[in-house]
Order: sequence, then C-alpha cells, then structure tokens
Amino acid sequence: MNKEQIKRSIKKFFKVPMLWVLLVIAICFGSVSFAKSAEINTYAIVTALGIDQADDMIELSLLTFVPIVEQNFKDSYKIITAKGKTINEALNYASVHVGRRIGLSHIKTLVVNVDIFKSGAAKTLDFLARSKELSLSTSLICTDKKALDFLEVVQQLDNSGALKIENVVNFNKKYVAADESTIESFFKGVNSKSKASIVSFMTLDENEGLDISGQSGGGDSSSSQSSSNSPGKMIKNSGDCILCKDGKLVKYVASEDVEKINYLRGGFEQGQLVLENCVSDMFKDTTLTFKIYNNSIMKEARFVNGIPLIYLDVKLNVKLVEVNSNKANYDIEFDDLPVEIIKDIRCKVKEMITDGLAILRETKCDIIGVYEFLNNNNYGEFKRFLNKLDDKDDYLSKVLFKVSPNIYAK
Amino acid sequence: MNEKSVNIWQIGIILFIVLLANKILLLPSLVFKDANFEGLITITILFLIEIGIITLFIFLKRKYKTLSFAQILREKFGNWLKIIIFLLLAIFFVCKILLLYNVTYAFFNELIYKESSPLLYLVCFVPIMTYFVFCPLRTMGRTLQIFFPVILVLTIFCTFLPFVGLNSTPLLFQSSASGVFFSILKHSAAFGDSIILLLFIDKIEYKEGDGKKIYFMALLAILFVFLIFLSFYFSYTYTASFHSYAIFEILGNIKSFGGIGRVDVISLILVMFLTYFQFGIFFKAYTNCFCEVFTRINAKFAVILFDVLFVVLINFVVLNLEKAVMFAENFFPYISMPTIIIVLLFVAISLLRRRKNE
Repeated sequence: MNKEQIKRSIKKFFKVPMLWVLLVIAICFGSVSFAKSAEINTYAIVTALGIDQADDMIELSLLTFVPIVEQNFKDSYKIITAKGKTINEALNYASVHVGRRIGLSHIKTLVVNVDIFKSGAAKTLDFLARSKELSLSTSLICTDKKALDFLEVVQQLDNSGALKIENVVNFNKKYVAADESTIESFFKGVNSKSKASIVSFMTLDENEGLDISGQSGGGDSSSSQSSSNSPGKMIKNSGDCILCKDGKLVKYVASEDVEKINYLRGGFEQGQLVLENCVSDMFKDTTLTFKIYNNSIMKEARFVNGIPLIYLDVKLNVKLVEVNSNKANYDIEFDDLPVEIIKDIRCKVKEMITDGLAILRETKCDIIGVYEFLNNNNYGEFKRFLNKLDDKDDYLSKVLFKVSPNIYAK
Repeated sequence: MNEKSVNIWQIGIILFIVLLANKILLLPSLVFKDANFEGLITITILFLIEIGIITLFIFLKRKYKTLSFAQILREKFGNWLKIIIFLLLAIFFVCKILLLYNVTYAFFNELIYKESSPLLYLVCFVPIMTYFVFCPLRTMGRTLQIFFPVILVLTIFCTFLPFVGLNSTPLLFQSSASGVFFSILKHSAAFGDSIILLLFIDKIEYKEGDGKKIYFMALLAILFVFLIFLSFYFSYTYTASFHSYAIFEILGNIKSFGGIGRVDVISLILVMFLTYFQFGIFFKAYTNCFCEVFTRINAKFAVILFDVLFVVLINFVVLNLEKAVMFAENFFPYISMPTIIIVLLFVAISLLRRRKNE
C-alpha cells in the first residue's frame, strides 16, 4: 500500500459521520468526566436498614459503607442513626449526618422492630415500597429487640467475613419450619384481598444463634463472644414468624406452627417429619424420623350447596433417616415399613394441616391464597358465597377442606 | 429488487421491532393499574387493530403493486385529504418519538446513569436517529437483519426465563367491562405502530404468499408481548403497579427468588437495541409524512427542524416519567386513536371503491 492509498483510506475513514459523533462525545463528555469526582465518593452505601419506633418518630439505623480512600472495610463500615417523622425525613437527616448521599440500592436486609408492626407497618414502610432505588426483594425481618442492636450484630457478622444474614433469611424459604419474607411479599399480602402477610421473626439471644464468628452456635458453643463489642448477643433464627393483617401484627407464630402452615402451603424443599411411639410388628416404642425432600399440593375446588370445598392432594417425598429404637434395625428402608406406619404418617400430616388451618382461621389470615384460588376457579359461585357471609373477612372458616396426603419414598 | 426497497423479511423484522419495543417496558404496569389482570383483554383488542392494519396493508399491496400510500390517497381522495392524513400521521409519529425518548430516558436515568445530563442522552440518540433517516430503507433493513438474531435471542431469554419459579396467581375478574374499555382508549398511544407498513408500502418487495411471512413476524412479536405481560402479572400479582419497568422487573424477580444473579442487565441490552432501532423507524416515518405534507421542503429541512424542535421540547417540556405517562394517557390517545381510525377508514373505503369499479 503506497502513501497515496493510505491517505485515501484515512480520508474515507473520516468521511463516516458516526465517527465524528463518537469523537465529539469522547472529547466533550470525556473531558467533563475527568473533571468530575468519582460518583462513588459522593455516596454512602447502605447494606442493611433498621427501623425503630421512638415515641412519635421513626428511628433509622443504617449499616453503611462509606468508601474512603486508604481506609479498610472495617473502618468504613459504620452504623449511622437518624430520626424523623417519616422514613424519608430520617434518610435526609442521615444524609446530612454523613455528608454524603444515601445509596439504598445495595440494601439486602430490612430489620423492623415489632412495635412498628403493632401500629401498622404498611404506612411506615410506604416510602420503601415506592422507592425505585431499593429492591423490593430485600429481606424483611421483624425483631422484638431494637433494630439498632440487631444491626450491630449484623455489622460484626459482616466484619468477620463469614455468613451473611441475608443468606440465613433466604434459606428460610426452603425450610419447612420457617418462612422467608421480603418487602415484596409483605406488600403483596397487604394489597391482596385478604390483606394478610407473614413476616420472618428473629431475635437476639445470649445462648443460642448465629455468633459473630459466623457459625451457628447453640448452648455452650458461644466461645467467640468475648471478642464481641456487644457481648452475649447472637442472632437467633428459629423459624418463628408473625402474621399481619393489613400490615398490623395479629399473632406471633412459633416455628412448629409455621411448619403446620407450610404443610398447607407446600413448596418447601427441606424438612423433617418425626413419628413418635410407633408400634407395629416391626417396632415397639420407636421414634422414626423422615426427611422430606419435596412437597407439592394439587388443589381442586367444588361448590357443594353453595359452600366451597377444597380438595388438597398432598404429595410428600420422604426418606427414612433415623430409627430410634432399643433394637438395632439398620436394614430397614422406607419400602419395608408396614402399612400402619404409612397410615400414621398420613394421619400426622393431616393433623398438621388441620392445626395450620386452625391458626389461619383464628387470625383470619389467608396467606395460602384460598381467596384467589376460589375466585379464579368459580367467580360467580364464590361471589354468591361471600355475599351470604355475615363477616366476609372470615371466609376461611366457612370453606371446607378435604386433605388426602400421599407419601412416597424418595 | 431495487436499491431502495426492502424484502419481506426485512420489513417483517422492522414490524417485529415496532410491535414489541414500546409495549414491554412501561405498558404492563400502566395497563394493570387500570384493568388488573384483564389488561390482557385490553392489549388483545389493541393488537387486533394492528392485525387489521397489517391485513389492509396486504390488500393494498396486492391491488396497487408499485404505488406509494400518498399516491393511493391522492388518486382516491384528492390532494387535500392526503395532506390531512399525512399531517395527522406526522404528529402521531412526533408524539411517539417524544414518548419513547422520555420513557427510555427515565428508565436508564433511574436505573443506571443517575448523574448523566440530558444533553448526553441527546448526543447519543439524535445523531443516530438522524443517520437512520438519511440512509435508505434497505440499509436500515440490512442492519436490522444483522442484529435480529441477537435481538431474538435476548427477547427469548427475557421472555421465558421469568417463568422459572413463578408461584403466585393473580386475581381474575376484578375489572369491569368499562374499565377494560377505558384502558383501551387510555393506552392506545402504545399501539398503531404497524401503520409504518403503509408508509413504506412502495419500498417493499412483495410476492404472492409473502403475507404469511408478515403475519408470522407480527404474531411472533405479539406472542412475546403476551408472555412478558403474563410473567409480569404472575410475578408481581398485587404489587404489579409498584413496578414500572416490566421487562427489567421480571428478570429482577428471578434474581431474588432463584438466586441466578444480575440477569436483569440482559434486559437493559435488549431495551437499548430496541430503542435505537425504533427511534430510527419512527423518525423515518415522520420524515416521510412531513415531506408528503410539505412537498416543496426537502427531507433535510424536515430532519433539521425536527432535531431542533426535539432538543427544545425534550429539555424544556418533558424528561420526567410522570409527565410522560400523563402525556401518554391523557393527551396522546386523542391523537393516536383518530389517526388510526381515519387511516383505516380511508384505506377500507379505497379498497371498497376499487372492488365496486371492478
């Protein structure tokens, strides 16, 4: 290629109009960008948010990472507190306190004190539902302790670089005796016809829970507590929940009751079923433990004399994992179990579901989607059924359920 | 096939993009606010209008093989009616461009480029839009042909992945017939895009049996829109109205419940592709209409005038999502609905007259 050809190809190249546009963008906006300070230096990044009630004010605790050059993570990871009449006002004050803009997009956990739920959390959390910055998939935790104290333990957990609290909360969804709640799930419940939602409940405990070394401790295993700034505090996630109606707390539900409700809801991936005092030709006074691998529920609805009847076909995949007996029975598999034992398992599942339903009926909290199911199944009949009720909110107690559990070996 | 014409697949891709692009971002949430889950009926009816326009296009193309839309109108109804229709269409496309720009600006501004100035957006969009106007339709068609596989793969990914792990059911039968009807009128601004087929009618190579290909591409786009609506409504049920940007949010829902990671970024790439091409197509359509109204003014003037007006309008009138939505729901339907109806009416009359003469 001679010089003339090179010249010509360069000329041709610069005749492309888009290239000029690109050059203008690069020169104008590139130089402006160099003159600006990095955006990260103007933000304080919040990773967890705590909300407490302080008289007639809202107290916000923001677990915040303030990126500062030449400072390590621990030095820049602080809790900022601010009070305001609303969350927005408190956030503005927090921004003034720290001298930076508050970035909410990295929040993974929202800890709300139970007092907020007692007075109605929907109105308090409204700002967070509307905020485009904050992801609605942020985990929502209710606690009976101060959210600020809770975040202090979360901060220590994060500093230790071990387990994250959001991982613990996320696992709740898979486990039978717990429930994962997010801002999204809470507001879905509040905006649904039944206005019911379920929220994970955690507390701080001195003897049991997730200690700051990031390991799940129990009983005497809290050896690393002495190094903590807040001694004796561990996050205890036992699977407890609270049931809310219209955003207001109506009932604490212990993990064993959450388990019962979850048998009714289905969809969990891990759990266990314990059958005590099994008696058959094979066993005597034996406790059998089954691991549940999968639980699916098929629903069918019919209207008998205007009253809805829901058939629940519960399918459980289980595996016999433990036999507590005086006599060793190592060669027993699920398939070897006598019919009576299978019947006992079915009865146990039925009992759990009945108990779970009783809790929901008592609290009028339809968190299992009965309203949606019946409405979508037969709109006309369901509307007529609702019109007949004195208390339309109490429809769950008038709906009949027929449960048929099917147990399968994994 | 001459240099300026496009083949049926290229126009099919153009149709696919305009039918898909402005219905997957803001529309699902807005329709849900007015018509709940029955919003699906709203978009079904509005899509029927699109299918009607496509059918009319095929009829027209069969009858008048080489004539442009302007020539057909002039021949049948005289020059003044042609000018009125093209003036309406020009306003229709200006509104579409303004709306699209605002929604896209708000989308990227809220989600990624919080600090960027509106000027940067203008510099990024206006030159490319302008370039699309001056390049022949065939160049645009070929460019789209090259990018179409990427767009299709991204669309399939964004459409089907959100169905993973859906576990909630929306409540049906909550909206009344009047609610659905009202939402049809309110959201008609997002429809009527297939009118571009009529505007480019003389630049399309058409053989017997090509109608099926056009229908195929249109139905493919409609199917994707329906699936995105469905996954959005099933993902968020009662909180669907909290989430403004459907295609982004449905992927965000997987992130939170399936732990797949930040797959929502894929939707940003898709939106970017679709927006650029849709801008180009609408801008070309506007210029086409403008030149038919003011026949003594050339395309360059039309484009420069629009660019100046666009920069002024964007910087001083809108650039705010709430205002853009207000404009789209309360003002634009009164332009888009009559425009679509008038165009359909005149095309139908011209076909009926022709049939009578025969």
